[in-house]
Amino acid sequence: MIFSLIIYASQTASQSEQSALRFTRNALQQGHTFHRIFFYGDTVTSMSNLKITSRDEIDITDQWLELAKETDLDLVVCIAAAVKRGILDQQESKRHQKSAANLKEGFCLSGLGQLADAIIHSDRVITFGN
Amino acid sequence: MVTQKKLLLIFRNPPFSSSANRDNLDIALACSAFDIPVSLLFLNDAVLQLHKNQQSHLLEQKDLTKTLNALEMYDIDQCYVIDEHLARYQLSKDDLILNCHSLAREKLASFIHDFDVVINL
Amino acid sequence: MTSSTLHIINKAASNSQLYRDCLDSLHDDDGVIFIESAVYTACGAEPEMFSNFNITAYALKTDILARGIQDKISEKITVVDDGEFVELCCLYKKSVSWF
Repeated sequence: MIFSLIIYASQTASQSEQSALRFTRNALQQGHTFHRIFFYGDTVTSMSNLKITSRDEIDITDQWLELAKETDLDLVVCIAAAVKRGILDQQESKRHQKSAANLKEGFCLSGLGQLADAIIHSDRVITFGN
Repeated sequence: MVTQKKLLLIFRNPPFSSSANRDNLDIALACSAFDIPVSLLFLNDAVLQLHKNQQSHLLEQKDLTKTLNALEMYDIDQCYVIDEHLARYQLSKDDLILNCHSLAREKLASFIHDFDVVINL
Repeated sequence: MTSSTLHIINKAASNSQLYRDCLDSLHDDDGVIFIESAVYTACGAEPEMFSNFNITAYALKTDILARGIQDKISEKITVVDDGEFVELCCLYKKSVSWF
């Protein structure tokens, strides 16, 4: 079965992103595939490479990247949600004449069209939110 | 050939409380541009988002009314509210900026049942 | 494969409006799964609020164990592990998340 996920939650305020990650791991283990993981709303603030995770905590963002390395997950961060919250890739940084880019490598900024495309091409779309 | 899926977006928040209603509307516009048939359901406090005479400039916020009024241009004309939720705020359909279908609360379950994908922000 | 909906709820039952909306949305043969803070709703007499509905109620084992409430889960609840949660999402035609 082809899944896509919408993650709409703040990493600091809820467990939802963790639930989504566990769901993804288990579905992959069962042989299912993922068309896309779409990060929307406050979730996008987690994708800053300026974020510091204390040493006794697990950085979920890094866990996504590790999983993506093994399984080719398409991790898309909503561009409108991201720039509004100060999460910029090189291109957006340049476009808006900012001094730096901070989107964590491995994630890609793109529009809501990617969510529409995920709805069209997935058997199941599951939302994890808070 | 990909079969066409019917998408329902559920709104649950009053105006100005969070970005959820705007985020949900943006999904509606994007999906409609991809020819996905979109319906909108405004539950409970979200009916207040449709109330006429809002003056968002007093809060220095952007108004969703313009976007809501533009929905028809995107061929999104399937908007639903629940009778009982309107009544709770002493609203009638005439108080709303959109032309909405009203549903009895008892019909909600079978209404949702008919969709293929539901996003509930 | 069922044509029904899996309702995924992740807040405790003190969020009464959320639960009322979820209850109003339940169709015959739908499923409800309690995850995250909603696993507390699987305890004791709480599941009674779903007893008028012809649905199956599940709760996610990992979230139950994490909260140490495994002895308090009502027998009306089917406890599922993470893999079974994925299977439920395949079994039901679609999901609606309540948060």
